[in-house]
Amino acid sequence: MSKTVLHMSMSVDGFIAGPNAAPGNGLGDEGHRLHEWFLPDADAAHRRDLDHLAGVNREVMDEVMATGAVVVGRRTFELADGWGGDHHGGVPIFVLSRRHPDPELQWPGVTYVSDVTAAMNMAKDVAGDKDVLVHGARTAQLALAAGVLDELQIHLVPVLIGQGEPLFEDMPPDHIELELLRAADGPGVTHLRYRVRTEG
Amino acid sequence: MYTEVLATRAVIAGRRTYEHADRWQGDHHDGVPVFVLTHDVPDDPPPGSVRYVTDVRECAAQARAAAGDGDVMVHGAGAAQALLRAGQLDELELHVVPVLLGQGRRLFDDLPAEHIELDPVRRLTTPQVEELTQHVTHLRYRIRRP
Repeated sequence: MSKTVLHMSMSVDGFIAGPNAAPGNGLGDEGHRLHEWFLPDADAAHRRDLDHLAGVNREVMDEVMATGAVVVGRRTFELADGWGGDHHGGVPIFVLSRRHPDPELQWPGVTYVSDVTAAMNMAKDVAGDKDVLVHGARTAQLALAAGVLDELQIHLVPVLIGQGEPLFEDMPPDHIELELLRAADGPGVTHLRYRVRTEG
Repeated sequence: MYTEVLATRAVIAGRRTYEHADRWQGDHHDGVPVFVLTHDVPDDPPPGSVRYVTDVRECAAQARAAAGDGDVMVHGAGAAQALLRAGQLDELELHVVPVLLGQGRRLFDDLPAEHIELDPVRRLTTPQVEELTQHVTHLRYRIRRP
């Protein structure tokens, strides 16, 4: 059964990008530090240069690349320049947004959807047996609130960056219990994998 | 974890944590010296082994001296942030609990936009336990000096 899995690289102080994230500076000032565990060179395109990875870092990236669809927030999508319409393997991308699509960021494999539950359902349909990759802080928050996120994978980078974009903010004061499925250390990162508990 | 805390020979605590804990009745553990970092020293004398310090570097120096060969335990987000900003925090240990609270008080708040590199010292995860809320990950880091 297809699971929706959030993957985010995060600093120990909870940021997923540095300050002043904008198109052309997608991860914010000095934000590339958060992606160094899998992309040592700031200019490397993520889907082409992963052969240098080994061990658990390689395993985790293989899991990302094995997903059958992507659900991503509008902001993240724009900051990444839409990944040129292809995040990995040509799998369908669903962009969560209530605004009209930017004509510059439309591709055949990209669909704009305004509701998070609809986006997850559509993504699971096309992914078949494979999981759905979820990306973006706002999308994570909306998916958690709607009860449509199955797993969180936090790639915890051993740095405090002080200022930036937090992963979790603007959330209601409701506890969401998690089950730790895996904790594993790779070079420059600790991978924490959680299942979102929906049982009462 | 508890054993390590109890083995520390001095404590630095923030004022907020200190007051929330009802001032530990003057004794945090084993009667070790407690240095409470506060901008605003109370009029009444400090209880037991507590003393008030207003300057963070002075606080760190006194606590290290009091602890001798032992470690100083830092207690509270306020104290942690102040010591971190002053370059006086050596290690941090996070007990990562498998829950999202949604709202509340953050450990790291209002730090300047500077990178502070951490070196992982140890990661411990409690063994598979029936009660999932008890499945905590302990992450210990040494704070790298610039």
